[in-house]
This record gives sequence, C-alpha cells and structure tokens, in this order.
Amino acid sequence: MKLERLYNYSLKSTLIRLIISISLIAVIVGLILYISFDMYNTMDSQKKDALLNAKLVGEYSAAPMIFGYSDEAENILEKLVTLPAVTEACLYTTESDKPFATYQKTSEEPYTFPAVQEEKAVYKGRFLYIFHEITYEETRCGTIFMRISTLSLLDRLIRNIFVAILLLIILLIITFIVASHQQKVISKPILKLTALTEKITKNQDYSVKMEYTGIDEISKLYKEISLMLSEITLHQHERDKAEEKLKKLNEELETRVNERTSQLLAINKELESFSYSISHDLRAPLRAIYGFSQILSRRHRDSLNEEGRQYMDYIVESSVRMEHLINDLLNYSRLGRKSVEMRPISLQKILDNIHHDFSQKLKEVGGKLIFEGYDTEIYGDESLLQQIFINLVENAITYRRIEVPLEIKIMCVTNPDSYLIKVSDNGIGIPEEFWEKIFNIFQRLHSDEEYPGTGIGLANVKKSVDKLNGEVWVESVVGQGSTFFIKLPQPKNIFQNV
Amino acid sequence: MKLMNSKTGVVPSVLKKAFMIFFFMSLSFMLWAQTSEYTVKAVAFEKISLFTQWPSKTFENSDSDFIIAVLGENTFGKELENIYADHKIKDKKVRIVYLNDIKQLTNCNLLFISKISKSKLPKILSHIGKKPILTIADSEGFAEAGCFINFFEQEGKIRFEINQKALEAAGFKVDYKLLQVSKIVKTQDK
Repeated sequence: MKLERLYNYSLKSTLIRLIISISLIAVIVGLILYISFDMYNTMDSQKKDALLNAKLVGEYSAAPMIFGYSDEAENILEKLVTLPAVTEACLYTTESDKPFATYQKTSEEPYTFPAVQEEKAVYKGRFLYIFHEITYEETRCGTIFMRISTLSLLDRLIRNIFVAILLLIILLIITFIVASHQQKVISKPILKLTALTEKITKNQDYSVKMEYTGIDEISKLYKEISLMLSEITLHQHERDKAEEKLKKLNEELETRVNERTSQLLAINKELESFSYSISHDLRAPLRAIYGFSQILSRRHRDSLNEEGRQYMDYIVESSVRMEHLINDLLNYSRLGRKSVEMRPISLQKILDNIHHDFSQKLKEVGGKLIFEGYDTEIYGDESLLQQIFINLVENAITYRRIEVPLEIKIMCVTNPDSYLIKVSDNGIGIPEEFWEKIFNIFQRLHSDEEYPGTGIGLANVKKSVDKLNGEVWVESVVGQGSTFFIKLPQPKNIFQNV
Repeated sequence: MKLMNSKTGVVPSVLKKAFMIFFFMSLSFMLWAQTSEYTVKAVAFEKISLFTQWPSKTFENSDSDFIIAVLGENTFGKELENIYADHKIKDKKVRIVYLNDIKQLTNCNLLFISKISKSKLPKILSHIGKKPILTIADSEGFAEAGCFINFFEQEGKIRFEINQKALEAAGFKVDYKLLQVSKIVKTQDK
C-alpha cells in the first residue's frame, strides 16, 4: 500500500515536474530573448537619440564655431544640462584636434577630453562615446563629442530582470496549479491500470473488466490489455481442459498399469510357487533316485559289468547335479518370498562365517580369502548378505585360473550416502559383452564340463541386492580377473527411497 | 672728468637703445595686431556670406565672380587678395576692387565701407539703392544708420552687429545661426 502510494507520488510528481520544467524553460528562454532584444533596441535607440542630440547641438554650435566664439559655443553646450545622461561634451574646430569648447555635468572629477576622432558611436565600459561631424551648407565646421552614461540602460536591465523574476514566480505558481490539475489526465488512467493489473496478479483473476473512455493511446492500451486478458482467459480455459484430460488419461493409465502389475505379480507368484512346488516335489523322488542309486552302486557294483558300472556312475553324478540344481532353484524362489529384515549388521560376523564355510574348499584349491575394511557395520538383511557373499565366493572359486593360486579380496568402503563392497578375484574374467547378462538366471558362459554350475548363483546375488535396494555390477579383464561391485544405500537413503 | 663724461655718456646710449628696441617691438606688435584684426574681418566676409542668402536672381549668371568692393582707405593691405586667392564665396571666384568714391561703384556683391565719416553714409546708401549689395562697415553706429552689418570689438574679440530689418527689407535672408552670434540692431532715424 505504501509502495503504491510511492508509485502514485512519483508518477504524479514526475508529470508535474515535467510540465513545470518545460514551461519554465520556454518562459526563461523567452524572457532572456525578450530582455536581450529590449536591451539591443534600447541601446540602439539611445545611440540614435544621442546622435540626434549631437546633431542638434552641433547645428546650434555651427556659427559660434565658424566665427571662433568659444564662449557662445560653451553657452550652447551648457544647455546639455537638460540631458542628464550626457556627462561630458566638447566641440572641436577643424583647425585643431584639441577641444574648442567643453562641457562637464559635474566638475567632481575633471575629465580629460580625447583628441578628435572620426564619426562614431560606440559603447565602451559604462559609457556611450559619440563623435559627430558638424557641417553647415556642406562646409565642415568641426566635430562634437559626447560621453553618455549608460546607467539608465543598467537601470532598465535591472528593472527588466526584476520584472522577469516576478513574472517567473507568477508563472511558476500558475503552471504548478494547472500542471497539478492536468497531470491527472495522464496519471489517473495509468494509476487505475496499475491498480487493476496489481489486482489481477494478486487474485489471478483474468476476467476483470477494463473500462476506460477516451480516444488516446491510453484507451488503446486499455483495449489491448483487456484483449490480452480475454486471450489469457481463453488460453487458461483451454489449458485447464487439457490438464483435466491429461489427468484423466494419467489416472486411467495408472489403473491400467496397476491392473497389469497386479496381474503380472499374480502370474509371477504363481510361477514362483509353481517352480517352488515343482522343485520341492521333485526333491522327494530325486532323493529316492539318489539314495537308491548310491546303494545300488555301492552294494551291487560288482554284479554289474563295466558298462553297467559306468551308467551307474552317470546316474549318481546326474542325481547329485540335479539335487544341486533343485537346491539352488529352491533357494532362488525362497529369496523371492522371503521378507526382508533391515538392521545394522557387523560385516565382520558375516565374513567370518563365509571364511569358516569356505576354509575347507579353499584349502583344497589352494586359494586364500583377503578382507579389507570389514570391521564396518553396515545396514541390511543378514541372510541376504550371506547369500550374496556365498554366491560371489563360490563363483570366484568355480571360475579360477588353474595356473595361478586363487586370491579373493573383499573390500568395503563407506561413502557419505552408501556402502560400496568390492569382491575381486584373479580368475578367468568375463568378456565385456556379458557383464550384464551374467546376472540373469540360467545364463552360463561355459559348458558344464568346463566349469560346473547351475547358472543361478549370480541371479541369486542380483535378486538379493535388489531386495536391499542396492545395485550390483561387474568390471573384468579376461585372463586377469573380475571385480563385483555392490552398492548399498545408507539408512537415511533407504528411508527416503521407501 | 673725461672718464666721468664718458661714463655718463654710456648710460643714456643704453637707455636709448632699449627704448628703440621697445619702440620697434611695440610698433611691430601694433602692426601685427592691426593686420590680425583685418585678417579676421577679411575671413569674416566669407563666413557671413555662408549664412546669408542674397536676393534671388543675384547670382543667375553662373560665370560671374563674387565681387568684394572696398570703399575708402584700404586697411587690408594685400590680405584680401591673399585670403581669397584660393577661397571661393558662394562657390564663385572672388574679385576685389578698391574704390575711392562711391560714384565709382558699378557692380559688386559685398561692399566694405572702411573708415569713412558717418555723414557720408547716407549718400553711399542712397547710391546703392535697391541693388543686392551686402554692406559691411566697421565704424560705430553705422548699423543703426542703415548699414547691414557692422564690426565692433568686444572683450578683445571682433564681433558684429546686424541690422536684421534693413537686411531683410533689401531682400536678403539671414540664417538664424548668424543672428545667434551677432548683435541685432535697428535703424535709428535722426
């Protein structure tokens, strides 16, 4: 409100200032021109008057000068006392350039008369100097000189300036009154417009009626703005409609997505329970096959010929692999069903377990397990983390290089918003094109004969990491080794994600 | 004694010499003063003529000279000739004639009546009659006696008086400027 008043004040005062300054400049210029012109005219007429006086006095002095009667000449000059502006005058005869007869208004300061000069009338200092040649009947009689005070001119100038200042003051007052009144013609509609636009911005209501009667640019401005407003209203309306439509579409899409998702989830669940039940149901007959085939192989080995024994071994071997596969599958499907229990866990404890579990196997293959930064406490689900490490270490052991002793390094780095766990080995490595594929279930790069495996291990890792809201990826150089990276969020980030 | 005589004889001779010098100086001064006075008067002829208009038809013949006649004693010497050798009056060459008697007067424009007894003046004036001749005199009372212009001395300056009525009656016109510096007199009947 205060600001608004300030705006008003500034627009009004600017207009008033503008009008007053323009009128004042015009008046001042006019007055200066008038005074200059008046001074010029006055000087000119003073010159003319002085010349006329000089002529008259000269004519009167013609005879005394011709006859050389200086007394008479001085008597004539004495008559100049009626012209108070004339302070000094003198006459020169043609014979001498020294004054022949002189006149001085006051004898206070004796004046040194100049030598005779040619006809002229000049302003010098505060005086007008006049030299005029006196002739009678085309005969030169001599010259008259007059020194005339310009005090009257100065008086006139001062009076003119005084009148001008008085006039200026009166005009200033009149202009101020008129300007204060007339500025409204411009400021009022603009201020009204400002208030209107302010109201529009404040209320976001573009349906305000802009009314102004007039035929100037301001009325055009009003018209344009009201046109613009109606345009905005129209656009707004269209936009609202489109938005609504979009919203509706979005909602529809969402319900559709939800439907699909729930369908997919249901199917997935069905599939999972199907695979689980199959694996589970397959377990019992497999146990029977495995158990009996082992008993058969053990007790009745000798009653079989070489070929029979070989087939027997195949059956036992296959049933072992089958059991592995089913165990892994069951594990995988259990992961899907399992509820996640997030809490702080000592990494050391998990890794100690891993070390213990794999110590026998590592001894067999001549490898070692190295931990770095494992005294960290991380946040996650214990059994999932266990799964991750078991699978990764198993993987490293399976794909080791025979020619070098296996070395598995597990490192944990704590970043501000995440934990980064690195599991690296010096195994055979993975070509880059498979870096992503290896995390898919049943994805294998090698035949079962080269490297035995079910193709479920890394899929298990991926699923576990996903459940922990983390990321997993691999970097590897073929023939040198691979590094698996697992990035797990810090607790606060987890909550954010949830 | 002789020495004494000689001594007394020297002093008078010095005095005599000084007196002689003084006498000649004053004589030359008087002569110079007199010449100066007449020079002024001679020059005044031209000046007075400048302000005076002769009756019409006087100077109709443009070839004619302006004739100044001096009646009586010539007090000017050669001054008039000297002055008017290269000065014109009314844009005319000036000729000067000297008359002993008024009867010798045939034609002139300006007549200077010099040192003549006042009793002779009426005869002179009657001889001139209505002729357009500007009469100038330098004797006291001549203006009142009918002479148009008369010189007189005042405070060591040559001034003149004008018988304006007589002048104008004779058909002359005189500029007021001349009257301004002159003394105006009237004809006095006897």
